[in-house]
Amino acid sequence: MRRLHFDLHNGTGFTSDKEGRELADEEDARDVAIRSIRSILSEEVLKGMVDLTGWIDIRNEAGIEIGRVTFREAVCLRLDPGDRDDSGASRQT
Amino acid sequence: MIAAHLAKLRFRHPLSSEEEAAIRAIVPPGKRVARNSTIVHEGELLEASTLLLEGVMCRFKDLADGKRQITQIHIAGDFVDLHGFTLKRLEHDVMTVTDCVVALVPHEHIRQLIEQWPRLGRLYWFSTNLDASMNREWELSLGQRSAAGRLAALFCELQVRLQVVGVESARFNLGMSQSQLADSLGMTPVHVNRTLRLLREQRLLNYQRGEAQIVDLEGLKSLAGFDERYLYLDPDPL
Repeated sequence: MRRLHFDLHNGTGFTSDKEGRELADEEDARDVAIRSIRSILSEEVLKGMVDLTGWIDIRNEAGIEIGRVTFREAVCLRLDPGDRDDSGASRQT
Repeated sequence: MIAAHLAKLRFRHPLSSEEEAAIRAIVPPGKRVARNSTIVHEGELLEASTLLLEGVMCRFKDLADGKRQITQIHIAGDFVDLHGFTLKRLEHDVMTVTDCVVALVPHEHIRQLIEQWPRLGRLYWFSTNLDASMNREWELSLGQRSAAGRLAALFCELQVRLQVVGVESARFNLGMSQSQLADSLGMTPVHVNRTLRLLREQRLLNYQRGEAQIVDLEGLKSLAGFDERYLYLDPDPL
């Protein structure tokens, strides 16, 4: 287990994660980032404004960035009836 | 250290000195419990109820995949699992958030107390009804409030509950991590962190390392649509 931090960059600005979370591996960290992005987007959807330009940087305790998940990666978008929903977005739930 | 509990009772209903003495007589000396300890496990047979004398505790339920919902936060003065007196086995767990001091009051003593002092029985019935009212408010938050509204409502409630037991300060140690706040509010920790930042920028609330500072209580109430009637601060006599 190691402590990882999830810094958020989105339309409301930069939110540094001082607390962090104990996680087993980077795969878990990616899942955490994706769930976090979806949680934020779900509220934006309710307000009728969705900003997909943000991202989460995953940092280790030394402050080194070990990964980045963009908002765009966290959801599938079907904008036209012909769009396939396997076009890029992560499948994690 | 039982003062907070008596203050909570007395805030809503007068207590005679005999009633107060009868309550004091059934509460054993407090014992220390370290933070993050589960003290009531789901399904176990209970023979005592936990009176929280110092610190912060919570009740929670988990889904099979590990997702957690914290269903109530308890502060000093709360009879955390008084409902265990009738339910005997709880469908949820109870844990300490901070280091705590608790008194385990045997159910047999509670039974004798309310037989001898029926009005105290009614006051404790009121107390479990009040817990149910707070759970309904929690449902309202989870179902209908925005992220900022949920956080604001929670801190408004805590501030009022602390005032009831005599804590007037707008700074208090809740001891909860952002992950625990997230589990309370149906959000993710990153979302909680972002929302706390927005509340800080709006000069409503500061929250760092478990330490809360209410900057603008009226502003928080307005943001949450907080209506304290559910806390029954001025109930009809019992």
